[in-house]
Amino acid sequence: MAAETGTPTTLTLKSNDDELFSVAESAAILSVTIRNMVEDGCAGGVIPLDNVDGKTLASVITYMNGISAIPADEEKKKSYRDKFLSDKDFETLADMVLAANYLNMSCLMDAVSAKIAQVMEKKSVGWVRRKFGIENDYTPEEEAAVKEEHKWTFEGVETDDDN
Amino acid sequence: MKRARGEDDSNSVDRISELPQGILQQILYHLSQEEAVRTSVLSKSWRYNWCTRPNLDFSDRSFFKGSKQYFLSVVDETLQRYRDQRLCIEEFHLCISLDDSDPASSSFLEKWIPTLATTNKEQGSVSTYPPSVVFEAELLQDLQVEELTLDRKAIDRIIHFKHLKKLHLLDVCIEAEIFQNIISRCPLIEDLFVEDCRGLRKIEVNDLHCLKDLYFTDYEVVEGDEECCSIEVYPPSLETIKVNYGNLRLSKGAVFCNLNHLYLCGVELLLDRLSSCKFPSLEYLSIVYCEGLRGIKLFMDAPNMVDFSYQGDFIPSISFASTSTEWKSDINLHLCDAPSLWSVKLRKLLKSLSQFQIFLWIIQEDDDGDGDGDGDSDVDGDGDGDGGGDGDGDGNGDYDDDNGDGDADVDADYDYDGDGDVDYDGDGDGDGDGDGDGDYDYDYDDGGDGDGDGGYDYDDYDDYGDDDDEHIIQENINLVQDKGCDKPVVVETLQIQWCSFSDIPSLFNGALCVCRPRNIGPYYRRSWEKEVVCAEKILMQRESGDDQDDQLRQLWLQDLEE
Repeated sequence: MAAETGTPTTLTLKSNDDELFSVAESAAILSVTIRNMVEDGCAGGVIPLDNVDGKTLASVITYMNGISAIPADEEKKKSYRDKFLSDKDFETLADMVLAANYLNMSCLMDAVSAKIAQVMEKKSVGWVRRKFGIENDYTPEEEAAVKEEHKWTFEGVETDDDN
Repeated sequence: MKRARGEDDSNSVDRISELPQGILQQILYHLSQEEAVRTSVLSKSWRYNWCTRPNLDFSDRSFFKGSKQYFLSVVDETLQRYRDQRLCIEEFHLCISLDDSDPASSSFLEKWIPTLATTNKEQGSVSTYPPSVVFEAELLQDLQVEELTLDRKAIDRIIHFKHLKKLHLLDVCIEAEIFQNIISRCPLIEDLFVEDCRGLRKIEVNDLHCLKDLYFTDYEVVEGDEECCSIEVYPPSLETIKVNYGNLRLSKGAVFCNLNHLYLCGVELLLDRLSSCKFPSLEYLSIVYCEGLRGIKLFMDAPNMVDFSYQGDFIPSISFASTSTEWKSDINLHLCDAPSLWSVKLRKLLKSLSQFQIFLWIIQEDDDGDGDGDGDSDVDGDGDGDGGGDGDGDGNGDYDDDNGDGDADVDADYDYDGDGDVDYDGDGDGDGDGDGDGDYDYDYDDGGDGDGDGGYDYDDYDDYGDDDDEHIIQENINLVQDKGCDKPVVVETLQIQWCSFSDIPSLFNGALCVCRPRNIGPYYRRSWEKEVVCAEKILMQRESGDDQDDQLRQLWLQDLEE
């Protein structure tokens, strides 16, 4: 381990499109998946991450390095996460949430899920459908029936359909 | 992976619906109940996604149109469904207002709370009148109670809250005895919030060995009102203490091994015991208007400080154990007295903080109540008593504000005659100085100004005498240049806010006698641009100007380098 040898251990991660990344072990073990590999002694060579592409992995590594450089201060970590995610579009967020899920990084997973939820917040059904490309496969009658079933959730949100 | 994209950042390929259920549940987790339910209308694949999310979050406040009855039935049906399908509820948040005329709500609670016996996390927020069944929710983790009276009747049924970690009492009428009774049954409380609870004059939480965050706030005690609530704590577990208008009672020599934040506001009780305590983990200390600090010499054994802030209307005597870390201190002083009365104390304070970055903000308060903000006091600002200066500190440094002597010729003209030729008033009287001695002759004059010279003309200040100004300021400069006295302390930023124009020279001089700011300003004075410009000129002249000012500047730079 890094602390014992005195030099920081570096791991090599390989994305599913064969890009290689070096990352400090201390940052990489934010991923429980990678930590388990390190603990099991199978992190010696290149670690293949078959479910993550290079672009997403680069982003995740930026996050790993950024967040692990912050000492144990939850507020600072939160503001780093907010800033890190602030300029990401939904495509990127979707890739990242899948990567975080695969890498078992609960803090990133939680932050990205919250960010996606934030996009949906206080928006009309029509807006959310357009934003995320969700196809409405209800017939008008079916849709009306579902709305009626949960009519309390539609109080006060009818107006922003064009937002 | 390229995907067709809509024009306006909308996606034409539906990726969100394809995300694994686990991730969708995570996303839904962050939505409010109604928003999560509303996703059922998006498409057929979304219809039942919300039904299995692990948290339920109901607030009758969001049912702004629906009736209470409807709210109760929605909660009831949802809980019933979770139970029927044996779904796991990891978190249950309920915010509900109750009162005596509403037996239906209480009876529903009687039904729901046993249902939730298997729930991992529960949060309840009750207001007005708590049915005692709330106190039977054994698995409750977070309980907020607002605006009600907790009396003997309410605690009849209280059981041991083996899981309660967070207790928040807001605007609750509760006696100390009842409070202690409740606390004694919640041994695992980590967060305790007590806000504006009438009747509660004593809090003893020595037995809460898991308590991490203690937040206490009370109404500001008005004179003649009842005494501040006294708070006794168990030091080792605490990480954050915030006390607003309460009296923190510390045992002598206590070791707060985990305390990271200490915020004290309006604490009246003498804080001298702080000096005997140890704070090995303390990083943030804020002291705001604490009378308990007046007249004592406080020593903080806190070797890991990061940030100290002080706000108050007097200059405290406070020092810190030497630290290895770099930290900063914000000193925010609202002072009524003239600089001559505080500069020595300020120097002592700054010296004790001098190994750290200091941000100093001095606000001159208008104390005399006559609305003119002139303070009507000794404003010589010479920092007498420090070994330099004239030592008398008065007699020659008094602004005569209300002289009514008809000296209408000496107001609202600013004469920066240090350089011998800058005459803003245009009335000719300022140039008489012209001695190049680097002093600042403040000449407030608008009487008979009207000269259209573009000079500064302040009608509001037409009654200041200026006879002694030159002398006063010269004394200050002498003081500043006096190498024999203590070295001024370098501060990162000095901000000064003044009530009236007459304060400016004395404030700047008073402050500059004891500190060397790397940055000055911004200034705050009710958007009086001209005065800011004026003040800046004073400072500019300190830095450049004539020969003597050059010396001064060198001295200043020398101090900064050191």
